[in-house]
Amino acid sequence: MLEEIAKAVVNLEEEKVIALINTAISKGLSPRDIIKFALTSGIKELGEMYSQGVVFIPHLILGGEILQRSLAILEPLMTDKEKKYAYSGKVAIGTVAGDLHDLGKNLVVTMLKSAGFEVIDLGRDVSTEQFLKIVKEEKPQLLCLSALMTTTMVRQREVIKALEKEGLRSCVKVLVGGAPVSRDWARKIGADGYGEDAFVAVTLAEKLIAPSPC
Amino acid sequence: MTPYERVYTAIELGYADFTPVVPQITYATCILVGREFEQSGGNPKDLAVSLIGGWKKVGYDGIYSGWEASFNLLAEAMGCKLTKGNDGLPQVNTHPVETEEDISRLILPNPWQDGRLPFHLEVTKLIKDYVKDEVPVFSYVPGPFTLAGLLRGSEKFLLDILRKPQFVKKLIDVATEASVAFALAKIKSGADIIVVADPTASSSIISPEMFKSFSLPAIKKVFKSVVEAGAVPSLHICGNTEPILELMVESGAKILEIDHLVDLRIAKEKVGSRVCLQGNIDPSLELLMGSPKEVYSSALQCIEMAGKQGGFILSSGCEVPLNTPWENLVAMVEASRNYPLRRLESCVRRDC
Repeated sequence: MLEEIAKAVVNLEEEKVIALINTAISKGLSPRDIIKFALTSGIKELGEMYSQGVVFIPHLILGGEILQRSLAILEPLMTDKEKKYAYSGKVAIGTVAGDLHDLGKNLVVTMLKSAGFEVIDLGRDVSTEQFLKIVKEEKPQLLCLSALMTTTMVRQREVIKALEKEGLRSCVKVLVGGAPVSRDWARKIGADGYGEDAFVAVTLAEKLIAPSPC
Repeated sequence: MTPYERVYTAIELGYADFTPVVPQITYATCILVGREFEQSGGNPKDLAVSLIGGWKKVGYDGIYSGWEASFNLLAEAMGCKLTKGNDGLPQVNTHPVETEEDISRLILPNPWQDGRLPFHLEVTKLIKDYVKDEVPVFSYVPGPFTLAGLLRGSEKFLLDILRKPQFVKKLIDVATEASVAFALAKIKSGADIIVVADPTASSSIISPEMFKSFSLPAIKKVFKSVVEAGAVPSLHICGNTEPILELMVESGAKILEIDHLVDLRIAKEKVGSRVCLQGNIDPSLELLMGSPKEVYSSALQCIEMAGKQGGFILSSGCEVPLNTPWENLVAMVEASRNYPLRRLESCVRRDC
């Protein structure tokens, strides 16, 4: 049953996924298992197919839509305790100042949620001050900075510098990503990781996540 | 030899005296001429002074007449609202198209009257009047695919490709008409080279099949009009374009602007005998943050990879960011001017 759902997710058969989830619920499968073993693994496989150049962004967005619809059915069936237990970490994410693009960022949000992270989505055009504030107040373990333009990616460096200046750099791991961003760039500005695409970003997040020392 | 001749020789796949150098620089020129970005852009003369001043100071071989993204300007004239981002440049923030009826309600803008289009046509005219036929004037118009995405909202638009392909094609048709009208007005105002910018059509976003069936036919239409009006068609797609290089040539483009993420050597191998390539120094890591020495050596490498026999314009791999030090742009020009002698020197030691 769970495998069947995962397969329908990979094939982007929207209505089939919803129908199968409803059947699974009526058969008594736990929402947590459906999320963890069917949805997450389906989305992950899609992500891998993206990395291999088999599917592209429109497919990932559709996968995200299917995931959102499925979660809307499953989440109300879970107790708060179950939800808390399901979280594997806390992530704050946003597109940097001057950048109104949020396509890539939204994909990462979807993938992070499907992987069980608690996600604080700051949206787009997020100022350096806003990023600092959220690190101070919400104490996420991971901060993801997205930039979609060569003209705005310099803000990623600015945020990291500001974290250093405020003595917050060790409190949070910083992950950068976005179309013009490269591994070299991430290294040069002192980021902890570079998410080549949404799938890699989530794998990295899983690797980097650790209790915040702050 | 004038910069104009240098560039046009490259477009015809030849090599003149030097590799032409044309960085993709627009609003970042204000810094080159010592103006504050926030205080720039108030009137067409102000823009022209920066764009011409940048060229005079650095001495490159072409001027981009532009400031903010062309697709934003056209999207605004068609009903999108722009908001100023935290960095001071406006970007599209609302999208008028939800339904089929919304598409038929879209008004095709008159570039001589609507939105801020006349303002930017005036900038092109001011530059052309100043440089005449000594320096070629490059100017952007939106790729219809990207413009359609802005009118609809990019996330919904990309979903529509899978769910409602006919709806997408209808929207692209309207966007194509708008792009053609804008291109023709720019040519009339003095643009020599029309660069269609279609970032959303990148292989980082859509599949080559999607590019072929949605983006490419529209670009072809724009280029047909551009050529008929006597200008040179050039194609700019950011990000990874390696899988679609051949299709990009099929568009009728005479120049391909190659992003820094694409291996110039591979691009040259695949399509360099059919089209002039322009690129591709890393705009952030090298031009903005690197030293003149680093830029100089990357520039030589680019020429070595794609410009030995001509058919190449040395450039940035995408738009030059604000606050890029002018010394780094000068290093690009120096690399071009020193290259022939350097090549001769290397031939002293071994026969070539």
